[in-house]
Amino acid sequence: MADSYNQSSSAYKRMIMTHSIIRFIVCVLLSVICLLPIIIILMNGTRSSASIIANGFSIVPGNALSDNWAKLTDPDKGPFSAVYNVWLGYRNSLFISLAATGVAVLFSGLTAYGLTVYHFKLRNFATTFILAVLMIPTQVVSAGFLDFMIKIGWVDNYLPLILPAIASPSTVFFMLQYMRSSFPLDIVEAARIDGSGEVRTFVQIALPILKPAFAVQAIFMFVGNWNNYYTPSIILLSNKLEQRTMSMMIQSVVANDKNIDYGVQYLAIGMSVLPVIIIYLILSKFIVKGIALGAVKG
Amino acid sequence: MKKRVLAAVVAATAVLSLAGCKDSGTSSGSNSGASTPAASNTGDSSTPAPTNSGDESVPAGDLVDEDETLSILSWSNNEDMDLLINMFCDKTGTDKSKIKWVKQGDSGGDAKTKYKEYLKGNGDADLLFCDAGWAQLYENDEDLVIPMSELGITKSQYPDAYPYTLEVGTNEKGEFMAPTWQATPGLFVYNAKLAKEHLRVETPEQMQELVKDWATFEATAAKLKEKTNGAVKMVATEAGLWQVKQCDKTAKWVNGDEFVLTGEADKFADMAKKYTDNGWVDINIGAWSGEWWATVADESSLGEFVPTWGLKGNPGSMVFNFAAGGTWQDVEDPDNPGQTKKEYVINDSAATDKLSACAGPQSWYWGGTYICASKKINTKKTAAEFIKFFTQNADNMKEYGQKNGDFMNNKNIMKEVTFKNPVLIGGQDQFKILASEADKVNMGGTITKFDSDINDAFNAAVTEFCKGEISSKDDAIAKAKSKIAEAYPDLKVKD
Amino acid sequence: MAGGGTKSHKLVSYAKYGYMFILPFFLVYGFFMIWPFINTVLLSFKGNGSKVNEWVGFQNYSWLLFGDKSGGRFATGKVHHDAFFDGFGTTVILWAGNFIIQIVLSLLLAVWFSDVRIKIKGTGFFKVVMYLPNIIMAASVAAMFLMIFSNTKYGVINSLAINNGWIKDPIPFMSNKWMVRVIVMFIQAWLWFGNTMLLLLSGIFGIDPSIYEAAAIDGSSGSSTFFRITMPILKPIFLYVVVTSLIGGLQMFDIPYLMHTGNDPNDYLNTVATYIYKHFHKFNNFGFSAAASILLFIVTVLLGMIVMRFNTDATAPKKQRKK
Repeated sequence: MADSYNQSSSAYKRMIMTHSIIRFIVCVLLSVICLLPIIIILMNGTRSSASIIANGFSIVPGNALSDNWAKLTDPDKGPFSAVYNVWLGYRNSLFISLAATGVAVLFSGLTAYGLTVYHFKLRNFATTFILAVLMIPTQVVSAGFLDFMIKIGWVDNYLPLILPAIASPSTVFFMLQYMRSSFPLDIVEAARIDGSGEVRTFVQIALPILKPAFAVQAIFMFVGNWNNYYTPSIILLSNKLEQRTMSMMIQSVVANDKNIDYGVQYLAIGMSVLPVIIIYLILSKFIVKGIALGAVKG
Repeated sequence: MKKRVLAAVVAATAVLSLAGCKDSGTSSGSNSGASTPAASNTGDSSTPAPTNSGDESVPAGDLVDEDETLSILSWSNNEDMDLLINMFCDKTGTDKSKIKWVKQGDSGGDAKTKYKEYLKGNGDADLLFCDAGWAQLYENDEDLVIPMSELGITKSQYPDAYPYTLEVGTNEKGEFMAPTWQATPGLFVYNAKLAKEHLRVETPEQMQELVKDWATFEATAAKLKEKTNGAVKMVATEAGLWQVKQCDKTAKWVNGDEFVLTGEADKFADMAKKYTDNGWVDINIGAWSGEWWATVADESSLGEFVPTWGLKGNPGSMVFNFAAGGTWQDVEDPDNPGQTKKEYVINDSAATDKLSACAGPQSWYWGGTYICASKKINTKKTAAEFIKFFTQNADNMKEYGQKNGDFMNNKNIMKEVTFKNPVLIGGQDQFKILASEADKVNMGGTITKFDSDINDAFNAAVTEFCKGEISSKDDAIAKAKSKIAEAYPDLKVKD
Repeated sequence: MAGGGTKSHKLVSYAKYGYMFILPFFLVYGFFMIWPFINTVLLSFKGNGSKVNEWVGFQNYSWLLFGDKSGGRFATGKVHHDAFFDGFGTTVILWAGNFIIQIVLSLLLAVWFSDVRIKIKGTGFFKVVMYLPNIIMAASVAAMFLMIFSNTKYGVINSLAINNGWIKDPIPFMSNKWMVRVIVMFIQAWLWFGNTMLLLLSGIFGIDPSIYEAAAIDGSSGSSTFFRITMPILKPIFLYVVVTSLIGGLQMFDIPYLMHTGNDPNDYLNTVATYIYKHFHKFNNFGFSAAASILLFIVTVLLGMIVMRFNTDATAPKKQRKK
C-alpha cells in the first residue's frame, strides 16, 4: 500500500473507502451471529413451548409471556417456584458477583503493581509462582476445596464464594502484562520525588492509568461469577432457596426433565441475561472511550 | 534466607493441615466402593428370603425423636410433596412445620449425586426418596443409610406388596432397606386415531391382541410401516424399548466381582438394531426432550411405553405431554364450597380423544420412589410413622392413589380401586390393566448395585450401534465393556 | 525513609512495600488452595474404587501413561490409558481449531478497530455486541446449539431444510465425529472471540496514540504499522491471550460435557477435563482422576513455559539499567 504522498488524493480515498466498506460488512455479519442468540432467547421467552418445538427460533415475539411467567413463579401454576425466584436470584448473584469482582480486581491490581514496581528478593519467585498456579486445572483443586470447606464449616455461606477471589492468578497475570506494555515506571519515581507515599501513589496515580485494564477484567469477572454454576452448587450444599444464585436457579429450570417447558426455560435464561447485558453496556463505556489518559507526556 | 523461611512456612502449613485431616482426603466422595462386592455375594441368585429382616427389628415403642423436624430429601415437584405431607399431617394431627421437604436435585438422575453431597454437610437428613434405578447404590452403602429394621419396619409387614418392589428394596446383604408406596408397572400408550386408521383397531382390547407378545408386536410394526410408508413409527424411542427389556434379565450383571454380559443383553442389541433398520423406531429421538413429546403429539409415532407415574393426567406427566393441550381455568373448589380454585383443565377436545392404553407385549416396571433412612436420622419415631402411613396402611394408600393417580403397592387395594384417566379416551381405567401387570413383574434376583451405571453404559453403546456410529455389534459390546471396566476398577471384565 | 543498611539505599527501602502489596494474594491463596492441591497429589498415589485408601505408588501414572499389556482387552490399566489418551487427543484437536479461529479473528478485529486511517462506522456498537455471546451460561449455550443441530427433523437446521425441500431426511449432525467436533470448535470460538478481542483492544489502547500519529506522518502503511509498532508493544498482552487460551483450552470442560442428549456425555467430546470430572464425581476413581489432573498440570506448565520465553517486555532494559 503506497503512502498518501505518492498517490492522487481521490484514488487514495477510494482505496480507504473500499477497505472500510469491506471491514464494515464483515463486522456486521459477525454482529449478527453474536446478537442473534440473545434476541432468540428473549423472544423465545415469550412463546409457548409447543410453538418452540414446532418452530425452533423466531425473531418475533410470541404472546405467551404472561403464561410463561406465571408458570415460572406462581406455585399454583408451575412446579418451579420451589427452586426459582427472580428477586432472590438477582439479589444473591449481584451480591456475590459484585463482591468477588471488586476484591479480585482490586487485589490483583495491588499484587501486579507490587510485582512490577518494586524490587525485592522473592520477586521472581513470586511471579513464577503465580504463573504456575495459573496452570493448575480447576478440577485439581475443586474437590479438595469442597472438603476443606466442609471441614471448617464454611458451607452454605457466601464466604468461600467471595474470599478466594482475592487471589485470582489470571487477573494478576493480565495486569502484569498490561503494566509491562503500558505502564510508565517513571511515574512512580516522579511521584516519590513529589513526596507522595507509596499507597497514595498507587491509588491516585496508578489506578487511573490502569482503568481500562480494570474495566476489562471487571466485566469478565462479573460475568464469570454471575454464570458460575459449579462452585456455588457445591458450596451451597443445602440448596436453600434464599441462598441460591441465578445460575443455580436456571440450571434447575432447564435440567428439570419432568416439566420440559421450553418457553419457561428461555424466559428463565432471559431473565438472567438481561441484567448482565445492562451492566455490561454501562461498563463498556470505559473501554470504548479508553484512551490512555495518564500517559507520561513530554 | 528469606526464600527458605518462606518455603518452610509453606511446608509447615501444609503439614499442619494434613495432620488435621489425615483420613479426610479419602472421604471426599462416599465410600460406596468400599463395601466390596465379594462380601455381599449372596451366592444363590434366588429372591432373597427374609432372613435377617424377619423379627429382629426395633420395637416401635422404643423409637424416639431426638429432633423436631423430619427432613425428607426428594427431587420431586411441589405438588407431589405437598400432597404427601399435607395428607400425613391432616390425618395424624402432626404439625406441618415438623415435616420439611428438602429439595435436592433437579431430576432423578441428578438427585443420585446431589444426595451424597448434601449428606456431607450438616443439614438435617432423615429420609431419602430414591429412584428405583439407583436406590441400590444407597442401599448398599452403609455409610449413608441404615436398614429399615432399625425403624421397626420389616419385610414381613408387607404381605400385600408386589414382590418385585420388595426385591428392589433389599440390598445385596439381604437387608430390607427401602419400602415404597408405589408400584410402577407400565402400559403401552398409543394413538387411537392412528390405530383405527391404519390397523383397524377400535378398542384397547383389540389393540392388545395386536401387541400381545413380541412376535405379534413386530408383525404389527411391519404392517404399520407398510400402511403408512414409514411415516408412522411403531414406538417413539429406543429408550422406551430398553426400559421394558431391562426387566428381562435372567442373570445378574455382576457375579461376585466379575462382570457378566448376559444373553439377554446380546439379544437386546440385535432387537434394537432390527427395529431401527426396519424403521419401527426413530433412533435419534431421545427420551426426556421436547422431541419425545413432539413425536407422539404430531403423530409420527404410534405409541410409547409409559409407566404409572407417566400416566397421571396432570401437566408435566408423560401422557399429558403426548396428548398436549389445555388451559388454566377457575373451577369450583370441592373442599371449599362457594370458592373457586385454579385447575389445569384439558379442554382441547383433540387431546382427550387421542390416546388409549393397553398392556403391551410383556410386563415391566420403570422407576418408583423408594424410601431409605439416612444414617443421620434423628427423628426415628415420626419417620417410622410416616413410612408406615403411606406404605402399610391400606386406607391411606387407597386415598392417596385416588387423589393422585398413583399406583399403590398393595395388591388388594388395586383390585378394587379404579382411576379414570382424564387424558385417555373415555377416561379409561388404567388400574385395571396395571393391576395384573404389576403382579407379573419378576426381577428374579438379578438386581445389583451396579445396575444403574451398567445399564447406561450398555444402552449408550447399543444406541451408537443403531445410529451407525459403531459398525458391528461386537464393537458395541466391547465399547460397553470398556466403559464399565473404566468405571469400576474393582470388577473383572473378561475378554 | 529509613531503610536497611544495604547497597542501594533507594531500592531496599521500598522493597517492603513489594511484600506488603502481594501479601493478601499469597495469604488467601495459601489458605484456600494449597491443601486441596496437596490433597490431590496424595490422592494420585492412592487407589481407585474400593481401594481409595490404599497406597499404590506410581501405578496410576504408569497405567495412564503406558497402559497395561498384561491383562487383556478390558484390563483396568489399558482401558484407562486408552480413555486418557483419547481424551488428550480430543482436547488438543478441539483446542487447536477453536484457538486458531479465535486468535485470527480477534487480532484482526482489534487492529481494525484501532486503525486510525481506515475508520469503520459504528465501532462502538460492534465492540459491545461481539462480546455478548460470552454472557450466556454454558448450559444454555449447549442447550441452544443442541436444538439447532439436533439429529432429528425437529432440529432448527433440519426442519428448515426439510420444510424448504432441500433435503428429505434429517442430517445426523451429532452422530458424525468430525461434525460434532467442528460444531464445538465453532461454539467455543464464538463464545470467546469477543472476550479476546476486548483484551487485545485494552492493550492497544494502553499505547500512546501519539506514536500512531508519528507513524502515519512518517508514511508507515497499515500492516507495517501493525507489525513494527503495535505488535511489539502489544506482545505482552498477546502472550497473555495465548497462554490463557492455551490453559483454558487444555481444561475445556463445559461445552464438551454438556453437548449431548440422553444420559451419557458424547463420546466424541471426551476431553481430559471430562475424564477427570467423571471419575471423581460419578465414580469413585480418585486415584486416576487425581493422577490425570497432575499430568494435565505438568503438560500445561511445559507448554506455558515455552510460550512465556517470548515474554520480554518493552521496558525491561530500562529497569535493568537501574540496578
